[in-house]
Amino acid sequence: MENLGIDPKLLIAQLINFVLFFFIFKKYMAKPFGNFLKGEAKKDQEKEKFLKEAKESEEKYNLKLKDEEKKIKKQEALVLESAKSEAKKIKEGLVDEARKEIEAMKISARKAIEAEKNKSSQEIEKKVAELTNLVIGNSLKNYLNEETSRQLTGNMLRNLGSELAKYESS
Amino acid sequence: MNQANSLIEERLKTNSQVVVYSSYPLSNEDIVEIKRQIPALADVQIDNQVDKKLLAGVVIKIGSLVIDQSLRTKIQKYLKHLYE
Repeated sequence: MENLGIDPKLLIAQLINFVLFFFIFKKYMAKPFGNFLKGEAKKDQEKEKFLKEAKESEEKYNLKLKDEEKKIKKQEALVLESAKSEAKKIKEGLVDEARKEIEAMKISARKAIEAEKNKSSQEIEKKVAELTNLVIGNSLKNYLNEETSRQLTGNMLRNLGSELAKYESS
Repeated sequence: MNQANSLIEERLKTNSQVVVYSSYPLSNEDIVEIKRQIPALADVQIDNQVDKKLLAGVVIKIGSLVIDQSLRTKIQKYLKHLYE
């Protein structure tokens, strides 16, 4: 062995040293490191699990969100339809009201025109009466001299009593 | 006529002034005729005033009471009736 360059003592010491190193390494370094690695792996698994759950949750949330959006859109459509219907009713009501107002205005205008016509007619009649009165008055003034007027007045005075009696009866 | 006479008598109690408007100055006969036709005016002083516009006939005024028997008013009434 010595010729081979191997020192048995040294070999034994190295073996002992190796065994000691192996035990110490195994006990104080390999095990905690293994545990650390296991912990890390576990953490990674947990993280993955958590991520998976989060992804699932996100997908669920997205689906829910889409459902909600659909519902909102449906409600919007309903509200819009209802508003359109309401607006149509209001519009019809307004048009109807306006039509009635126009009709009332027409009737009122017709009445006003009729009243104005009557008023004008009455005024014309009044004017004609006044004019006729004036013409007759002036004609009679020229025609009636004092003598004729006296005779006429005499006749009227003789009928004064009966004229007053007529007023009483009327 | 009695009713008119009573009304005139009633007015004469508060207003003794009687004015008769005519288109010419009335004669005594005319005044007498008025008093004969309206007995309530028999003992009342009548004041005569001329208004040519009346054409003929008389308007007797006792306070606010007016008895219009003029030709002008008769024509006006006739025309009014005609145009109504």
